[in-house]
Amino acid sequence: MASPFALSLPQPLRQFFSLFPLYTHPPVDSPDKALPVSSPTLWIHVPWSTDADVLSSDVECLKWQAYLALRGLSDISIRWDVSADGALDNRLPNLHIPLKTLSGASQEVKAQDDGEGELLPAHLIPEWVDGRVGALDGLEGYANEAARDESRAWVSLLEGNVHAALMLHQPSSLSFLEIISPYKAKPRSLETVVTQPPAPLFGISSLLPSYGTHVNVEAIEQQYKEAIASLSERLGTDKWFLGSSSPTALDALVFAYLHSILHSKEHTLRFEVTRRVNLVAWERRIQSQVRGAFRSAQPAQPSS
Amino acid sequence: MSGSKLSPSITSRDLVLHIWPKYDSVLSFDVASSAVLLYLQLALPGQFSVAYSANPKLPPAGQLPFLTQGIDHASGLGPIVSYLQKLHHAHNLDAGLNSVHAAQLAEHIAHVQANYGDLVNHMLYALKDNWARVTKPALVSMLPVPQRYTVPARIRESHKVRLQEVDLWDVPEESEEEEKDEEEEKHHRIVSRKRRKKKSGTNAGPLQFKQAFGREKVVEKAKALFNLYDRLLGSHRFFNGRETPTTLDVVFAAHTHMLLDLRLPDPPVTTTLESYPRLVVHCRAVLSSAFSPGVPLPPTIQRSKLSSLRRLVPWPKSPKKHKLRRTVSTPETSTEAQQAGQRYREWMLWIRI
Repeated sequence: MASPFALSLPQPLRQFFSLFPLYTHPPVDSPDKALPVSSPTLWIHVPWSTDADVLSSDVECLKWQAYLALRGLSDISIRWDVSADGALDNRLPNLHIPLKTLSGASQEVKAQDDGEGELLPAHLIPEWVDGRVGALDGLEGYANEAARDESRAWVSLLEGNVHAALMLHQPSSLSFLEIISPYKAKPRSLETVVTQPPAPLFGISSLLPSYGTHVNVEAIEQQYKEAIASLSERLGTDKWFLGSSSPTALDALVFAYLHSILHSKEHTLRFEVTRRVNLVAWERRIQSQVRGAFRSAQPAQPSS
Repeated sequence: MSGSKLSPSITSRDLVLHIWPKYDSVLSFDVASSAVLLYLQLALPGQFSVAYSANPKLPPAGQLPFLTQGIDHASGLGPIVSYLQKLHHAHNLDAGLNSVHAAQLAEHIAHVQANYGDLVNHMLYALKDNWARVTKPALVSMLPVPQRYTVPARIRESHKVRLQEVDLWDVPEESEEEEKDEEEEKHHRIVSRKRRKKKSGTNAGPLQFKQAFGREKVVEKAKALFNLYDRLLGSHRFFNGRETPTTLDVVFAAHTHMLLDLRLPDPPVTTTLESYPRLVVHCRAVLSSAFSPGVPLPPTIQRSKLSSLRRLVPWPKSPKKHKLRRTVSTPETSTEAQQAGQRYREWMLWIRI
């Protein structure tokens, strides 16, 4: 653009500037590279035993694993080396998918094979699954409208009473490294799951500022027992919950909770479920189906 | 136990229900308390008494409603209902349900307590208008002098965690409040009106949109819940087509009663509720069958509302203190009766501290 009014660098300055850069360092090879994603990968919490199992030890992650498996997807890889504060919204599980599997992807994106991926938070997983295997109808796989309404109530029973009992008995391991680390992944506290807010430790009307919670342990345990009793009653000898002909989201949720209860270290929790043979048999049957849908992307490491 | 020589309050093993006090035309200020009151009125009419108390430190679990019978106690809606179901002279509200309905009862109650309870708490504690004009004055009127300045705010904070988790804390109002505080501070520091006007002008648009969108979400949630229970109720008088109310009816009606009879200035959920007339009729039906004309009302034990500074201090609970304020008559002579009487008095002291 040779405009007569454009300023240009005077010649000596231009020569001087052309000496730079003096030296260009070669590019640094970092070991932390984003690996190309070729198949959908689910980021979860650590499984119970890392070399033998692919099912997560956290109820949320397990619930989504069961959902993916029961919707009919297969060959999904698993990784558990990502900590919770690296996930979207600080909540695992996240699903890392290749771009071409997105339902809204254009033709040229589908033709690409460079391993570009998209990370989905948990609440967008059903949409993605609908894009892969076809959307569910208005009844969401339940037998009728009454069953669908009832499923909402079962969901809140499980996520309220049963989850509270599980959280109460979760071992809170506090290692030194966790205390001094600046990255705090705060798990959900018990107050968010119980309906009536528990009183602070010293009482609500004391001079001392509110600290801690005084949890009504017997109430939670008793509600948990009633919940498991009614769950077992309702299942009876059906193949899937509420008499559905194919697995639904409620089945995934129930499986997740039963599996976590059976693996928990607290005897009272486990005993309630093991007493009920139909629940144990049902869980075992679903377990093999869920396990078969996943494969571990993580090679077994002798020391991490 | 030697029968007639004992004091009547020990042999009859009086059921005393401690709940939050009445306010306006609501049975009790807390939903769980009114649910328990309705349940007792239906299961054991005339055989219990009610003590209105605003001191949640009374029971061991630190929460009202709380039921005592002699030495036994139960705290919270679930434990109280299961305790009452074990009493042989109590009328079981859930008798006669087939096994499917009985299994569904527990899950429906949990669903109502979780979702409907969250909506009621949102109306009472999260909406600033309601909090400032109804809830806070109500709590202040119930509490004695040292507590009334600190406890209402603490109660509100305790609901905040759960409501934030379910997205019902209505964040746009809070940030609006923060903005206003900042503006007021600035006004004190820099006396210039133009800056304040400019700030409120630019932010009014997005904040109002966020607020309207937040309220829409609440109304959507309420509608989903009410649709479900409207379908479940159908055209029957009570849920599951029964003739008498079950536990689910009692719990649902307690929530509805709270919303309908507590006149709140900012009522998004109540207006949604009023568009479901069958649910309103259901609530009235439950209340009228609990307080029907032939059924006696429970006597109330008036607790003296002394402002006790001692309540502020987290005092260790031991039965050794002897500030005996008697409301029970002294037992007669037999040693066994005296021992039973002594244990009972110690228990009364323990729960009064």
